[in-house]
Amino acid sequence: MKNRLKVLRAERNWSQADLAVRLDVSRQAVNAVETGKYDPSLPLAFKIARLFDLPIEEIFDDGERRG
Amino acid sequence: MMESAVDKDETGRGFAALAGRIALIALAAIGVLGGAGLIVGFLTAFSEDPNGTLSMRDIAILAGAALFVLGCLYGGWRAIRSMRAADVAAGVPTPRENRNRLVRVVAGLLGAVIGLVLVLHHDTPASSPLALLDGPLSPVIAIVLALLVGVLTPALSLYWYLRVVDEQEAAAYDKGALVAIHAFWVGAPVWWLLWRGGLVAAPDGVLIYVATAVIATVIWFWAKYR
Repeated sequence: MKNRLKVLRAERNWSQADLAVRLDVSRQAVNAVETGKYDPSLPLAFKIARLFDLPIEEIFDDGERRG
Repeated sequence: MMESAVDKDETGRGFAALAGRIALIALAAIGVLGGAGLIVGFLTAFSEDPNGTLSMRDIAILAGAALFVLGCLYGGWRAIRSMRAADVAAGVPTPRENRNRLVRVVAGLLGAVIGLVLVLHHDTPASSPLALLDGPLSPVIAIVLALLVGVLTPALSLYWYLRVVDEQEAAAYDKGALVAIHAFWVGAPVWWLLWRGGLVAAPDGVLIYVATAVIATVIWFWAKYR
């Protein structure tokens, strides 16, 4: 799944470790989500959305268009 | 152009390089146990033979085994140092990663204790590392090892899985376990059926166990670090 995590992180000048600490995950997890190798669970997606103060769909894009 | 902190991939390691280092550490550990087993077995056989004397050939074998063990220790130590250097260069580990590392160190020490007990107490001369896996043991040692493997290991694994790893690693571990259990469910009966048909040797429980564990570990590693 595509996402804007790296862009949002860059806007705040956070490293992967900075974001990982805020989300309480490993750097591998942040990297895997950013590169689309791992889709986060719903709880983690909500946590990310709350951290960036954005709706989930403005961070993650599943490629489906709204009807 | 210099890489900024934001652009840096802080997983800190190429998948192939990390896999190579871990394979080297695993081979070194097997080598140390095998070599130490050979030395212990050789010396035990020698001490039990009242007329035994060490010939030059025996001394050469022992010296070769000792050098082999030292070489394995050195290779393993270099690989561990190289992994640590790559990790430090990649940035600061998160608190969760540090807890994960601590559990892995404890698991490694537990494995080393089990390996050492096997090397020092198994009843057959250690002609090969595989003899450590299926040679006879004294009842007391068997009970001690069974408690270590049957109680301590699952307790540590459960703590690691439920309290230490994040969801990405848990998913990687689940994937490894799923592939491994299916390899077991398919591989074991296929071997059993072929054996019943007289086509292959009898199924080897130790080999099946090791293969299942290796498959789970390789898939988990690939899913976590790729």
